[in-house]
Amino acid sequence: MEEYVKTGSKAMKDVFLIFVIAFMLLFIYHKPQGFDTIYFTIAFLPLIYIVYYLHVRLFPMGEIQLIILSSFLAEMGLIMIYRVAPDLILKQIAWIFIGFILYFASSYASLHYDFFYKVKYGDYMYLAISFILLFSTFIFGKEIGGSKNWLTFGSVSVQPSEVVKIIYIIYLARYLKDHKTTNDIIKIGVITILIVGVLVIEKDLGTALLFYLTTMFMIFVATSSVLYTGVGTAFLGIGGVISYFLFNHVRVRIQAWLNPWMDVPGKTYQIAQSLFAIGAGGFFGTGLGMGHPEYIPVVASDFIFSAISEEFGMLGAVAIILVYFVIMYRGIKVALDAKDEFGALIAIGLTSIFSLQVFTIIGGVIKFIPLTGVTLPFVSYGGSSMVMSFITLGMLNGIAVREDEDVEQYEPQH
Amino acid sequence: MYQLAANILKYVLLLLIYLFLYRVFKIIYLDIKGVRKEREVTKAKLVSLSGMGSFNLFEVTTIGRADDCDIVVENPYVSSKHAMIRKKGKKYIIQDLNSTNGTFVNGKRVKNIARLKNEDVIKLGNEEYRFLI
Repeated sequence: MEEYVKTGSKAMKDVFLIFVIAFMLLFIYHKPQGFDTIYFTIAFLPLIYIVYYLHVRLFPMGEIQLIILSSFLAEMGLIMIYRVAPDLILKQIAWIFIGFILYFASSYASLHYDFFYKVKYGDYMYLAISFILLFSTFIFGKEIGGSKNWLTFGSVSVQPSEVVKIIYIIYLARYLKDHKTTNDIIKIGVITILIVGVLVIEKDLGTALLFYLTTMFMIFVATSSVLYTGVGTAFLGIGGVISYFLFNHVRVRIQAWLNPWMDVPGKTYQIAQSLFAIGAGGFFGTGLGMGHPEYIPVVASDFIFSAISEEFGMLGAVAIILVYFVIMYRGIKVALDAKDEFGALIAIGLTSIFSLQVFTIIGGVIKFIPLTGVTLPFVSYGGSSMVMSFITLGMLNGIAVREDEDVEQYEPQH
Repeated sequence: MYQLAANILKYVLLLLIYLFLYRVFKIIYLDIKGVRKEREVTKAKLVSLSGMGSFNLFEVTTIGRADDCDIVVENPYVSSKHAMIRKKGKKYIIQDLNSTNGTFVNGKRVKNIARLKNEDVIKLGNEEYRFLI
């Protein structure tokens, strides 16, 4: 145990050093006017240290690795965001701060996760909230970056589908715990296809894929039936083919994936620039400030992985992927050790949606699968995604430290 | 000048990133294998004052109501993971694991960690133990 905590502190020291070296370089590169940016940037270091020790203190048996890994990823994101878009960094640090607060809040909330199970008319309530949030973007929504899935309140834009992800996972876990017959699975299938349809019409293809695959994984974990998974995969294939012929934006994406060189200044500009950047990086990268990630469109959010590949090289990019693998491993371990089936299903749902999101965007920018616009959790610029990623990990931590409550515990009587 | 610095420091940064990864994987290793090392029995003992016998302490010993604790206490006033005693060098340290009813050493509540000395009386919920080296 002693060595365990010590190794954790050493890992945090590495995070600290990487931050200091990278930002020293970037401050020379950008020569920021005034000291505000420097002060607020340096505030990130005490923030992650306070969070680390608070976590050790509040959750002695908690998943401390989640904090270490998420602060590393947030830090890599900050370095790259400051490199490509210096104006955004203060907002991003503010989002990280809010994210850490919500991490602890959701940890404490999911210590009592059976509340989500016991709530009356839960099925209808969760579904109603999910659909209201999804449809709200049709009425009040605003189109940003080609997808009509944003709600704007003044200067803050929120993506309701990020919130729906977690509500929908809780709904699925609650439903699948008690309902495992074929009829129930068909019912879930119909609901999922409705949600996916709404998202496809909103042109949010990445999130649609995440919802579909997460549902499939959760059904597999709950029922261990290969049949349902096979039928699900077949439907995914059929749905893909139908939407290829039905929707123009799907066709463009798939054509750009099959041949990124057909229309480089137009339709396939994004993926072609991303591939150029990854190629320019080589093994060791160009070094901070030496590459040209500014040619990649939306580089601060969706394409941040290409920028990291360019300036940190293949080795840096592989390190990021390995960190995501470790988070996935911890998530699956939480699910295996969970005290009851409801907790295990929530944990597996959260882990799969998180890992699938990473796979979808990294696979997209390296042209492994067709490109869909989702964010890279913790690394990309963006409030909704940052906050929801922290809530996801916080809930996993809460499920991991939850006490067994089979026997009622008494308060002392003296 | 900047180019030279950026070129050298990119290797330093990659080195640090992989050092970080090495430590992350070491934590996983300790998680999986480290449990075995923590099973080594030390010469310290806990003797129950309510006549439940005595327990040998390991390098790391968890006490609580849960089945996976090293010392399982069947008492509703004890939390499922109540406290942990570990050996640090030659000293022994008790840590409260956020238990509901608290851990007391010689009548004083342990806030986070406390050092244990020979003949100390440890109280968990309403169970009392004497610590002997």
